[in-house]
Amino acid sequence: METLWYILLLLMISTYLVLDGFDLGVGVLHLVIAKNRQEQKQVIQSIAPVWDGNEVWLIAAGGTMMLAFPAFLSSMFSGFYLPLTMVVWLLLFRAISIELPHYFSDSLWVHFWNIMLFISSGLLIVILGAALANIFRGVPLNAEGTFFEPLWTDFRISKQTGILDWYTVLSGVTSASIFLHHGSLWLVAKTDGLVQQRARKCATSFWLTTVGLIIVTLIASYVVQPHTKENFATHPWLIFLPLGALIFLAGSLFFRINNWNMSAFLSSAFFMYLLFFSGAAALYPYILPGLNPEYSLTIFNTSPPPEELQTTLYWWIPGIILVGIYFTIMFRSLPKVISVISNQEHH
Amino acid sequence: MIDSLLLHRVQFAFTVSYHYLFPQLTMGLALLIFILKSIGLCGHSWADTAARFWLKIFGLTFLMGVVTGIPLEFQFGTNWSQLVKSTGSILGQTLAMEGMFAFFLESTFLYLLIFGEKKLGKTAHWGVSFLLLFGTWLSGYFIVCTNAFMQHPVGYRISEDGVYHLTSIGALLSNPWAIKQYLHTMTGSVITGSFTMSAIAAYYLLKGQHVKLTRRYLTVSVIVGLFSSIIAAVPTGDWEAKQVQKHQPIKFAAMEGHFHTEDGAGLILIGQPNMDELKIDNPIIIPKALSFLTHASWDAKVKGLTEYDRELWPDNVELLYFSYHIMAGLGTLFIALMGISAFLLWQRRLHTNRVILWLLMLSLPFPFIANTAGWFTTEVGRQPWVIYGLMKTADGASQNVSQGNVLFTLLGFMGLYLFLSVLYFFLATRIINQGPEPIETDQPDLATEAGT
Repeated sequence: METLWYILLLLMISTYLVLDGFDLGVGVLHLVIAKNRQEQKQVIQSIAPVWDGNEVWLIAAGGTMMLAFPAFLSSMFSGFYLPLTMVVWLLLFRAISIELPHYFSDSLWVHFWNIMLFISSGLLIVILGAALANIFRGVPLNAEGTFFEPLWTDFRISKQTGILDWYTVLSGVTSASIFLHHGSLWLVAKTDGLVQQRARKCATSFWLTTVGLIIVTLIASYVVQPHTKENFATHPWLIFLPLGALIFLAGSLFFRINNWNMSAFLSSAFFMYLLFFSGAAALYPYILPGLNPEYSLTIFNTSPPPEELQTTLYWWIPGIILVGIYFTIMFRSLPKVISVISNQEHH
Repeated sequence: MIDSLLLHRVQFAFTVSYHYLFPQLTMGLALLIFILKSIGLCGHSWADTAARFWLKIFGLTFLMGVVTGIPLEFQFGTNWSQLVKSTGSILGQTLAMEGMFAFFLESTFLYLLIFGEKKLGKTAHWGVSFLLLFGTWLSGYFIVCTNAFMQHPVGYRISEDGVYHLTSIGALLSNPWAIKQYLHTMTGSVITGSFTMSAIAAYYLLKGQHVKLTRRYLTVSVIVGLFSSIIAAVPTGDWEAKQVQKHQPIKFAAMEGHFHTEDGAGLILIGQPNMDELKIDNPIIIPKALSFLTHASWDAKVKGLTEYDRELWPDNVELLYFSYHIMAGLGTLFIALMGISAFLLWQRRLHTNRVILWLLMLSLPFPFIANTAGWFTTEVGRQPWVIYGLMKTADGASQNVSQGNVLFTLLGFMGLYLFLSVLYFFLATRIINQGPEPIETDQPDLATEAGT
């Protein structure tokens, strides 16, 4: 039962990463790809209807984490107090900088909000990667299952780790590259004209950086988290997860070159899912490894008894089916392609 | 030196109170918009025009509610990690349900409601307005349920290691405390919605703008405002007070300012609690009314605060007392104001009576104050418990977060929310200045033309 909930939680978090992944990516790219106000509107219009729903996955995942692994949430959120509060601030800024510009006609203000969107989205994608890397690397848990990490120390992984060290920074950069690639594929699929052409170029460069960074990060992860070796050695079939991820990464390039733009985007989505699950499979059954392995939190010592988890399934399953229906309605109601002209009609 | 527990409490109180200014308006407006859309569905096109205008205010307010709501869920983990560790598997149920059943619904249908009118057609658009109403009100229920567990825990057992386990999800969701608190809270938000609508209508009428349209929705908002103001007092307010008196007698005695046990206790209308002498200074009292209201008998005994161990008193009796009296006092004013407005409406004099229009316009902030005061009454009164009678607030806070960190984030939130307030006022004023689109019979409208 714990394992089932672990998988459900992972699915929710990774769905959040995949969905908010593209709108965060677009949030950064809009400043590079759109050259005038019309094009900016076109780019923002591709995410404006959906970013809110995408972000709800984070909130729903938070709730699910609280009910399924309360001790994990308690330990992680209080341990990462400062960075998580800052994440909240960034989410807040990003929300208003997507939604507010169309209230302003003054170009100075619009410019201000665009820069805010760029900064908040950019920091978020780096922080998300670094945060996941922190969990993967392990934190200095004590016997009570709590910890405190400073934001940074000397960037080496030693007894006193910082939230930012060489490994987490590397992961942050890698995740930025993945999200930007993902975001540019969304734009390639959803726009036309000059914006689409520029998005295509971006996709190519970010594909290349992603390939390079992913290989380095995978190797680094294998070195940083010794537990990885155990799981992959005892269950060699798990290797299909990272391999599958790489195949989908290749697929995203293949589909895009052949102009199957939506398939390229979906391929990138599957790449992100599999990459995330590779990390989780490497950690299993740990959910927050301690630098002192004795104090590690596992999915078993952080969850309520199985019978409680089972009762929860009775409302959770209909819930997730409903969510699936909402998302189908929402994504189907979006225009297939957003061009500059249709955008003028909109506002 | 500031106590870090106090900082945790102040930060949560500040962010939650600020957040609640927005959902109380959107939950109330969702009902009013649905009513307007229903009138529109019956063929009155003015109501669709009005709904379109109010959706703009709704959209902006909803955005503020969303962005200020996210920090709250995070703060359970960051600031109240011990509470989450012990009770997360229970509190997480209703919080996760809110995400799964309400937030996804709202985020999907809000967009369709604001931008989909042409595409969807009349009936479907009306349906979407219902779904949005349903989503926002459902969201409110899950939050009240979460709070109700902390006020009146049900459906749980505590294991040897002090962790709370859910024994009945049905009990958690049908917590009698939640149902009464929900009805009272929701009427409170309908009051906010209708007062906001009538205040802005009054503003237009006083300025002579958009007259035809605003006369009509002023009528709607005054009727809804009268009903909700009455329901907030009787029966929902009464139910809630009796429930507090029954299950949380210490809170009840403190909020009434009732220090000493008495037969035939009087109801204190005005006065300042004097905590040194344990009495009310400058009181105005209705004799025997408290006994009657709580026990339906003029001479019944009502227990006073001094009956209880001082350790168990809320740590801020004065704030609790004033919050409650501000809420109840304003509630009474709401009934009076809406009662007079409705009477004038019936006499067909409301739309031209400048005195009452001024009063309606100026009363805009009061429902927000009343709802916040009500929230304070509930939460300050629960102290020193985070889970009433079971877990002290001090035991729920994160132990591994230094007070410097909490102070830093508290100041950060204050700065950010100040910025948000300025933005909200600026943008809401802009929407109001632009006004609704003119309806066919209206005079050419200078303000609208200048605005677009």
